[in-house]
Formats: sequence, structure tokens, C-alpha cells
Amino acid sequence: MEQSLFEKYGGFATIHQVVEKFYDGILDNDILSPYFDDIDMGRLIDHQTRFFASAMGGPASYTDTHLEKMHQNLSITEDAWNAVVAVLLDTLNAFSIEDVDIQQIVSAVGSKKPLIVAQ
Amino acid sequence: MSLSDLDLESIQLPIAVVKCAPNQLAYVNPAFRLLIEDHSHQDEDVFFEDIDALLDGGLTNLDGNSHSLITQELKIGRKRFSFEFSVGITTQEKFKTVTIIGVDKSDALKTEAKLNSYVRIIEENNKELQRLANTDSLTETANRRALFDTFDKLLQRVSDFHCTVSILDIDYFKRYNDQYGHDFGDFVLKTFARQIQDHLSEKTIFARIGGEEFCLVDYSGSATTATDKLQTTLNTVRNLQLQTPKTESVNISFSAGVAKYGIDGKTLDELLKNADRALYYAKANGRSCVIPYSADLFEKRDTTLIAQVDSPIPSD
Repeated sequence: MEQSLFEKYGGFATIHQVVEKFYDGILDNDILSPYFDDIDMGRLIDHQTRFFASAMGGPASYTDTHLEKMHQNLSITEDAWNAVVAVLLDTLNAFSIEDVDIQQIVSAVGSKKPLIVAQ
Repeated sequence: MSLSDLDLESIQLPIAVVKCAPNQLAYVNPAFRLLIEDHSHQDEDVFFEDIDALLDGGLTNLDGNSHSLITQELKIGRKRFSFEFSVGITTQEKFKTVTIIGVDKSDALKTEAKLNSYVRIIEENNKELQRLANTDSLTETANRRALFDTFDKLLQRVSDFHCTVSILDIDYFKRYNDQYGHDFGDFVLKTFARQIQDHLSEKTIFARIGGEEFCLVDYSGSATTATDKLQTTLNTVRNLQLQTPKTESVNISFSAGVAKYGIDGKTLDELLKNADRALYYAKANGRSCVIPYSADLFEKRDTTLIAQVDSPIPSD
């Protein structure tokens, strides 16, 4: 069986650092930070750990229904979406992740855009 | 040793001394100041407002000489921090002195949250793998492995265990496949399995054990009751109308053989074998019926000839 990106980059030992950087990046962003005002740290970290484990083909998965349900009442704008993608790229670039793999992760996340951004 | 003996200036732990009523910050040591300046980007007000909130909320239950730990999530600027405050209160005559030692636990708590999250992911994953290993992917019922496992556990757990083991086989299944294609065959299997599962009573195990063969273990009551229930299920299944791809609809039915634990076998293998014999008898005697196994079953009637007679698929 082909190795997942999650395994390729060292599993949880690496991913937890990626989550750390992403978490800081999100909360440090003017557009994104307000979306997380009412979510406590533990929950936010849980979502983000799952998010990376899932986007990198690791042992977690979000169903489309679950993703849609989680984001539907948040009125997520196009700007917010672009900001998340920018933080994501920034995060992934900070680790030695190959370009082709970054593209794969970003395009996997991108395919979920219609479920997340408010129409 | 009293507080005045301590060289608070050189202690590396952040220490703030707060006077009670009104709550006033009396002293902060360099380590505490560093903690504030480090995180607040010089915006000390934010932090001190929260200290007040902490004092108002956290000290109401403190009296006399006591000590408590309070973990507080604070937002300083855009960032969030988890501080653990160790709050001590000392009463000396008319004065109360409150000391607060604040420690930034943000990193430790973040790591803990990530680890907890990962442990949960792995647990969920293992659970899902376990479920997949025990489930028939087409019908979502238990599979043969799960049937044997659950049966073994029941035998060990339930004292005075008794049950019936039935094999249910969908009548004319091969013809559905041949006439309407495998997709329709799968549809028949799924519909049948769902119908049975929707009407299962407690204390039953239902599993797919072969192509169109299912096993029902009923340990809820007497063998007679179990057989009667199965007959009722058969009547319900007979009433199902399934839409074929060729516009007409068909009715389905099943034949079943029933074996009784303790009488017709003591292991699941033996019980399945005898239930299968009774099923064979049911198939040979016109199908769409429930036949309890008995040792003299085949002495009653020669089934070999009847087995060859096949009637067409019943349709509307």
C-alpha cells in the first residue's frame, strides 16, 4: 500500500508541530481570529489535528456532511477562505514538505471549498 | 519562614502579591513582570483586568489560610494563553494577604490537547477497523467472524444459556441475479437484511454467513417463541415488493432451518450444520417456510426428488 503523506512526514511527531504553527497562524490573523473567538483551545486544536491528519491521508477522516455541518452557520467569506489557504501554505512551507505534496494537500483541501464557504 | 524571608526578586517563578478588599496589586516580582511583558506586548492593562476578574471569581471561596489552583484561559491581544495561578491566602489579624503565582501553561496544555486529540483519532480509527473487520460490507450486518465471536462471548457470559440458531436463505436468489443482473441481486440482499434488522428484537445476533445465507441467533426466550417470531418475519418479508430494473416488481421470501442449543448441538458449528439440514428440508419442501431441525426429519419424507422441482419466481 502506498505510504500516506502523514506517514511520509513522520506521523504525529511532525504533524503536531505543523498544527502548532497553523494554530498560531490562524489566531494571529485579523480576518480569521474572530471566527474562533468562542471556541476553546482544546476544541480548536482537536479540529486542527484532525484536519491535518485527514488532509495528509492519515488516520482521521472528515465526511463531507460533517465538514458542511461544522461550517454552515459560520458565514465564512471568500476572504476568510483565501486567508486560511495562505496560512496553510505558509505553514506547510515552513516544514520541509515537497512542493508536489504541498500541492496535493492544498488541492485536497480546495476540493472541499463549496462545503465550507457560505454561498 | 515568613514571606519577608524570601528573596522574591530573584525567584524565577512569577509572583504577584495582591491585597484583598479592595483587590490591589501590591507587588510583582521581575519574573511575573517578564511573563506579562512577554505576552501582552506591553499591553499590561489587558492582563491586569483579567487578574481582577480572577480575584473576583476565584477568591470568593477562599477563607482563612488557604490555597487553591486556578487555571484561566486569557486572551492577550489576539493570542490566547492558559495560566495556572496558584492562589494563597494568609490571614494575619485584620489583614489578609493574597499571593498569586502565575505560570504560563499554554505550551504544555496545547501539547496535551494535541496528544489527547491524536489518541482519540487512533482509538476511533481502531474502532472503525474493528467494525469493518466484523461487518459485511454489502449488507452492513455482522459477518461470520463477528457471529462466532459474539456467540463465544455469550456462551462464556450467560449462565444457563439457551438459544436457537437459524439459517435463512433467500429463495430463488440465483434467478434474481441471472434475470435482473447483479445490481438487483445486491439490492435484494440489502433490502432483505435491512428488513430483518429493522425488526430484530433484543437478544438476537443477525449475520450474513454466505452468498444469500444469513444466520439468526435468538437467545431471548423459548425455542417455540423464536420459531414463531421467525415465521412472522417470513410473513413480513413475503409482503415486500421489490422494483426490478425491468419495470415489474417481485416478492421475495426465504426458507429457514432452526436448530436448538443443547438439543441439536452444543457448538455453533454443530448448530449451523443441523440448521442447514433443516434448511435443506425446507428448500426441498416447497421453500418459503421455517423448519425446526429434528433427528428424524429425513425419515419422514424422501426429499431428494422434491428438491429437483423448481417453481418460477413469484411476481405480480
